[in-house]
Amino acid sequence: MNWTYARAMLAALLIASPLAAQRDDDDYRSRIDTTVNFDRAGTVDLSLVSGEIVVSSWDKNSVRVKATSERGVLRLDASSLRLTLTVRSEHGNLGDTRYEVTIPNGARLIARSVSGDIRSRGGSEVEARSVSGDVEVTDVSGRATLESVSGTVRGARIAGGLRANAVSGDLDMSDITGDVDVQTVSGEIGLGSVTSSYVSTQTVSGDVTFTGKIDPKGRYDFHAHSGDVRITLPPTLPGASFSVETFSGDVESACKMTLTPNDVGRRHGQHIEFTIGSGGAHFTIQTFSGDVRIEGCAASKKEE
Amino acid sequence: MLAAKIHVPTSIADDGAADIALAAAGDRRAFERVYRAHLNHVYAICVRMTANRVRAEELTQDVFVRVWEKLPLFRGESAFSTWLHRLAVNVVLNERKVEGRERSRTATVDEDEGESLEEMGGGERAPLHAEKLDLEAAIAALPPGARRVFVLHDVEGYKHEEIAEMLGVTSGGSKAQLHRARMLLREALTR
Amino acid sequence: MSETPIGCDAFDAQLASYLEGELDFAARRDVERHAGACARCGALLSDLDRIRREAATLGDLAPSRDLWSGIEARIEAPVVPLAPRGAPAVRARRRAWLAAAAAVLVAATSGVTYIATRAWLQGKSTTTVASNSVTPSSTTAAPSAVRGPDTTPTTTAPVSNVSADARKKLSAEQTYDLEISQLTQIVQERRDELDPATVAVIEKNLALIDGAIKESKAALARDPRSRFLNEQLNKALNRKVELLRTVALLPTHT
Repeated sequence: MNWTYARAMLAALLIASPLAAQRDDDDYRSRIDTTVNFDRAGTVDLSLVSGEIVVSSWDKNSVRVKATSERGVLRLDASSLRLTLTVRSEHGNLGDTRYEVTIPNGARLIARSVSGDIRSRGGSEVEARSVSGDVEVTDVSGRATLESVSGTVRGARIAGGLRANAVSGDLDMSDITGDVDVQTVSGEIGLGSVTSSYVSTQTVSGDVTFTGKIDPKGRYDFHAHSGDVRITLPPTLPGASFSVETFSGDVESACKMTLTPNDVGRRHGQHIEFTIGSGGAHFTIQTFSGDVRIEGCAASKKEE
Repeated sequence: MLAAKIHVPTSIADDGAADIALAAAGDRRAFERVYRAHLNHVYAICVRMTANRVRAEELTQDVFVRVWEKLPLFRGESAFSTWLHRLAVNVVLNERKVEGRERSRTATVDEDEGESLEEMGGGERAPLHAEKLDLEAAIAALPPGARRVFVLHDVEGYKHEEIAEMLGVTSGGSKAQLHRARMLLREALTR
Repeated sequence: MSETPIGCDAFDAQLASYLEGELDFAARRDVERHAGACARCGALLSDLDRIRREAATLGDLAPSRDLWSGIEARIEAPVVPLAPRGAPAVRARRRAWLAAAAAVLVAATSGVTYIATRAWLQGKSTTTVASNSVTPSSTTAAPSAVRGPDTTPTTTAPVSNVSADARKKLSAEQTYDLEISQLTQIVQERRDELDPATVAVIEKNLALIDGAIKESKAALARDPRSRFLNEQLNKALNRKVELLRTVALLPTHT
């Protein structure tokens, strides 16, 4: 018998067996599964490095926390007004961490990750920030603040205002009520079904699209450098004034418009101002080289 | 230090042991939860023994600071609440200003002297109204010695032997103070 | 068993012991029998027993205010660190310093940037500009008859306590250059702490912004008094500053 081979096999078995057992028992270095009584107006603060944060909401005075981490040590701190869930590493590599948390409908949520995705539904106020993860937040009864550097940022059914910021990720927002302030560098900005009296969008190379209800006293600003801006106005828009400027881009508008004289000394670009109906809402659309397209206006009044 | 694997009871609200363990390990947030769970009883001990709400609030803070310091020494031989309440009593008893700004409806009754049973009892008297608010007020009006024994025995449930040890008196002396306290309370509540 | 009922004096003498449960059967019976027959003693026993029972059911009391802050201030508890142990402790300290430096820098310079930007946007259109420079006019320019846009860049912070003298000393471009330079240094020092993929995204987008800045400056060179082009340049500069600030304060990937 080849004792060397036998010893190697035996050694392998001895190593494999406890590891197998350990894998069954210790699939996660840390695990939490608990429910905590919680004030409906409290703040839930979740942060991790990589993995996923998934948040839902319910009509209860409690927070349900299910968390697992491959190699990190979870830490849960909770009082009746604040719950904090974090993970730390003891040996450098955290592995993947997953949070599944259910919060009271009226609670405030703060969710932060480095590379983990964040998905949340509900809450009275939500802050969700990731570096490279995607961020998706829906059904917020108050304000939402969403950020990602390279991930996609999505928001829907946010009732109290929105601030969203991305670098290369796209910003895709729909059914937003309240002030809207979105910025990206190279990502695209999509705003749909917005009900707001203040909208501000800024992008460098990404495109901007907008549809929504217009407040007669509202202000709607769209700025891009090389990105295109496309605005679709509601067909029943009572009135609005437009200031559209671009250095080298093209301007197309379904609205009748008249080119105003260029600024003194300017040989390039277009500056178009026109009014629809009785005016009121003010649109400012500026691009450097991007094109501007305005759709949906039924009639316009020429301005000389 | 936190364990490598954390298993938290299904409902933290139903089991304070986890918070106590975490607090003993230095977790301030867990300690705050322990504080909130036991605050009102500790405060009740302090205010009933001192008859001074402002001082009782200060003493309550003293109690929890002491709890924080001594929590790592809690071995679990008794229920945590038992340990905590005993610590609270000790803090109050060590307080030298417990008689500071006392108001007493029986101000003429000295701590070491009291009305005899003959003086307290006898004669027609009104029905006893021991509604809780009246009883609290009457307790607050007791002389300090009688008040301490009454609160420790009838409210908090300590035995005379334990009270004697706490107060540095004899068991018989504790019993006598208790009876005196009850008689004074009856007097106050039937006026 | 005692044949003779006890009187009130004996009742009073034994009452305390009775309530303590220390009497034997016979003595206890005597006390109860006398209490049943004597209105005075019966009422006394009933009242004391009721006081004892009521006292046992007294509930907790709440203080008039939350006492936690006073307790918290007095206890000294270690803050559980989240940073990895061991060798990276030095890196953690440096990272903390860098983050703090970035935050201080953001706080200190954002107000200046805001003021410079706002002042320029309200600057007069007839201001003489250095001939070959694309520098926006000085921040000391008087308010212009040309109404600038009301859009305050959302990248700027609230006005700080920068003195008027300080504002006069820096042109808008100098302000931006200073802030960008300082933030860039911090960002460079943090490169190793960030995920390489994130670093690549940031560098790509910084290049995009630099391209926008370059295009705006080139256009301004041909039309230096264009309000629109100056706005475009400022927006690009603001975007660069904001991106650098964001990077400076990003969490590490470990």
